[in-house]
Amino acid sequence: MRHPLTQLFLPLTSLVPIIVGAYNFSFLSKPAKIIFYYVIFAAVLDEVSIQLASHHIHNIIGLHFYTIVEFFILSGFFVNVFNQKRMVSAVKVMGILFTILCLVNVALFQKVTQFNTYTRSLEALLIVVYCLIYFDQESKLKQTVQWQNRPNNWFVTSNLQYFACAFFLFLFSNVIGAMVKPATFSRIWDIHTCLVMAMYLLFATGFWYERSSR
Amino acid sequence: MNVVADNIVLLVVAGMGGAILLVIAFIVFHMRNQNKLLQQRELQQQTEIEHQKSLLSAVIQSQEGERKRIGQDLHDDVGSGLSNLRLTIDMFDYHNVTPENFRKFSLSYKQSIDHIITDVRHISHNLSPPRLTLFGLTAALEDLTDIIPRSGIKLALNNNAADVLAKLDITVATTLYRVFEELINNTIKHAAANQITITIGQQDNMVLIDYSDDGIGLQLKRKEFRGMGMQNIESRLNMISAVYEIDKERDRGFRIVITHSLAQ
Repeated sequence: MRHPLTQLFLPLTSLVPIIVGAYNFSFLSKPAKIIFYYVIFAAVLDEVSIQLASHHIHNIIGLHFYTIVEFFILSGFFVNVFNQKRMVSAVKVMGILFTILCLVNVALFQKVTQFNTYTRSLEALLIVVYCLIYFDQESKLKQTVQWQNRPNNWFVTSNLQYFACAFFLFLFSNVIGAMVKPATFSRIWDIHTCLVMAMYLLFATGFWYERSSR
Repeated sequence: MNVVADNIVLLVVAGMGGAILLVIAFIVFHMRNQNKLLQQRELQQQTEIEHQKSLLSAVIQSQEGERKRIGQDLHDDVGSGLSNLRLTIDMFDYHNVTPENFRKFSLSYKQSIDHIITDVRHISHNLSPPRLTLFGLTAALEDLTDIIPRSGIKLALNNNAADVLAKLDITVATTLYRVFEELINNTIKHAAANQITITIGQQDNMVLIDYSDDGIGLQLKRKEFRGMGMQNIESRLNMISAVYEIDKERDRGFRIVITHSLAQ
């Protein structure tokens, strides 16, 4: 039995960026639209995962697929916000390499029924690196609007807080799962749920500022 | 092998807590830093706009002053000259024309016309010194060395770049001439000086102009020097992309060094 936080509050929170994004859709920039589609994809997969878990069906298999698609979508976002051709090319190459790594991981190291700690942690690490490169790039530019009025800042902050914090959880997920009771394990994943909810709310803030930034 | 009794759950939760604190701190510092930089840039732009406005205002006021002076010259000199001419004609007795009367009338008539011609020439020369156009900046400056001592101030001109000045574009030459006029005007009006020294030289691809006087200096008359005259000089120098530096270290007297690149 999972906590109401995961079964009720998370799906409700995911509706916030979807509603705000849909309301401001005509004002959304290309990177914002990618984030909007990412939120829909994540929300749908989360709901499917919750439903599978509630019917006692193994839902980890989907996570391997989710990791590849998530990294692809977020790479698409960073390709659109980076202004250096070299960086754009690096992100694209990394997307291909990461997909290969995920397939190798499933084939050789971690079964589809196991949590993909290696690739999920690597994904988190790469996204954190992209976020830091983005902020470095922004620091070098002569900005004409305030930090909070630049929607991309909210999207990147959202990714940074989620992936930087969840990195430890992804890394030790299999170890913790083997060491603690399922109930305790579930409580730890509630922290992850809180991070996802914070991510959604930050996305919604970004979507809201898209309107005023146009 | 030692058995570690650390609580892995606690460590992971602590790691996540630490990470979120670091992320929040990073974002807050980044946000503050970016907004502060933006604020500073906006302030700088605002100051620059204000400065440009004051320069523009100085140019407009200077133009208005020039128009007023030309109007006054036309009214006082040409206008009065023409009135005299008319009076001379009115006073001529047509009924009693003798050769002597006609000679006197003719002489007076010619004198009035000569006066008007001289006045018109003065006004025209003030507007555009013909020597500047015909013979260049060096010749125009040499004229100034003849005129300025009449106001009781000695003017020493050390021109070590006559060749370069002769090749200057007419717009640049006229602008520099006007700047000299403005500087000399400031010295005569405000500095209570006895001597003006102008040294013109060339270094690399630059014309260096060193203007100084032995008057009361900038320290005592700071506001006046930051006024119309100085703004006028700055806006003129800006037009030809020349730079200037005022020597603030001097206890007495005023000194400005103007640098104009010949590469432009």
